[in-house]
Amino acid sequence: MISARDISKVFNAGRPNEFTALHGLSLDVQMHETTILKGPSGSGKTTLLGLIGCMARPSTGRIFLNEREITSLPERFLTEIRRSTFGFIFQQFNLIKGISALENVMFPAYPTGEKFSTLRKRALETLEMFDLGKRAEARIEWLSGGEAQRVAIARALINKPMIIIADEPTAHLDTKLSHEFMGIMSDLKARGTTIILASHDPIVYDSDLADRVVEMRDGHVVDGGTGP
Amino acid sequence: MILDPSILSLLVSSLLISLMTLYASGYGVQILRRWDITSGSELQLELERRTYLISTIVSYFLAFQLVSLFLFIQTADSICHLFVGAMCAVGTLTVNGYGYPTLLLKVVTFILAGLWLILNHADNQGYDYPLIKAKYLLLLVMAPFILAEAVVQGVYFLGLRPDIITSCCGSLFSQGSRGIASEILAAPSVPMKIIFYSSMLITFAAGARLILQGKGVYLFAGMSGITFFVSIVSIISFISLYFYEMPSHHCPFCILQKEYGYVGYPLYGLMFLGAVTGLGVGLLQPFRKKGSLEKIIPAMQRKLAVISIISLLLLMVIVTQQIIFSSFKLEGY
Repeated sequence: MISARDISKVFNAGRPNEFTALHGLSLDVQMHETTILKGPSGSGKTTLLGLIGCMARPSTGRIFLNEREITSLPERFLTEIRRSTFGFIFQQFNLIKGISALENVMFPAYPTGEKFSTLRKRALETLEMFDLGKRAEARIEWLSGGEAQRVAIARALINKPMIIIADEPTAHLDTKLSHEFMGIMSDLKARGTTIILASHDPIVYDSDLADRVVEMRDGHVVDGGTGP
Repeated sequence: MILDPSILSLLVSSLLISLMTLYASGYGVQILRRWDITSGSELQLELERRTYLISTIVSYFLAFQLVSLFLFIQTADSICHLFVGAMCAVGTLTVNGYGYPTLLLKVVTFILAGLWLILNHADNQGYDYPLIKAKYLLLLVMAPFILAEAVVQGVYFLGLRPDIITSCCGSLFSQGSRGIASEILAAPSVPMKIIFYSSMLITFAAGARLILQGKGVYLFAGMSGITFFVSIVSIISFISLYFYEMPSHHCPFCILQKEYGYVGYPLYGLMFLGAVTGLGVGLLQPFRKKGSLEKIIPAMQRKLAVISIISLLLLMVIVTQQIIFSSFKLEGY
């Protein structure tokens, strides 16, 4: 279980433009379930995802991953957890242009020191899983929106993460591609992957995929934070 | 003051190291008073965020602190020609009353900085900042020495005048001189050799026991400290004589000069390395049961013990080969 306790996040603390994105919120996320953070822009969904995914540290409060406290970890331990536990899918996909889809997928696994041929084989298999085997050598800028989205998902899976974190994954997708994305998430859930999605798209938060919908507003959890 | 690039770099580096140590000490006081890893308070998270950066910067500064001891000696040696009567670093250090106190403080801060770096390295291996309080406590102990060294060194360099008549090492490290040096010189060489080799052998035996069985940590650390002291005395007492091939020249600094192949640098370097790593083994011992370091510290202690033993072994080899192959025979005098 991921437990966030009394989490606050203040940006630009002590400056005139100080902004509190999260106000002492607490949240439990069960493993092997899909949790959806729902709320309007500015409600703190992305900030919370960043904290859960160890991409940023809270200003106050603690986060526990399977009862291990992770917010106090020194950076090099945090990097290892981030790499091995989480797979990230970003709103803009954040794929690297100028290199191939295959290289993009392999990229997060380079620091693990895995043998290149083994890694390449696994990356190809992951792309095949999303029917992108033939597009493996294509540059990112040559891919369609749907293909780019699936490459982003493949990249998130390359290190075999326990948890997938996706921030507004359907924001730039049409309805068909959004449903396609949710289908892929369903497959991942069926394989036991824990999924945390942040979205204000009804296709996401109204889907059958959601085990829990956490509603956020102005940096607070207004519904569905803790408990079953 | 003499405007020499080495003097300027020593002054500037001491100033920077002192300022950083002061800043880190202030932070250390906060750590010692307010650190609570179980708390999720803003202060605690702020302390966690900053400690990594601060200890990284401090470790780089302290690494230079180690180098500065040798730079100081090299500087004192290289500018000796500016003082009437000086033949090596001894003359430069006796130009005023602050030369030797600076050297002594540099030796103390070298050892403390080395120990701090070992502690910091061990702390960085643990995920829960296991040695953070010990690390900053040691920094607070070290801070007055570092500040004193910067001040005394500053006064020493500012008081250097090229026209000052000073003493040469021949008058300070000869048997007619007075003070601690003369006591060492008066000691007969054979018992001193026995003490030197005995302390080395006991240290090796203690080290081997520690590496193979994991026992006798404090014995090894204690012997490393004793061997360090014995080695310094031995250099003055008999080792230097074999390099100079002169029965009455006991200077511990002339061996740093080109005429003697700069052999003093490896000798002192190995001596300090052996001492710091050996003492570091003992320093880590009280923390071996700390949860996240339970497996790391014994391995680290073994590694440090190996480094210490190899350093002292090399030191002994350099000394012994000189004693054996030199045409100079001390016992004949």
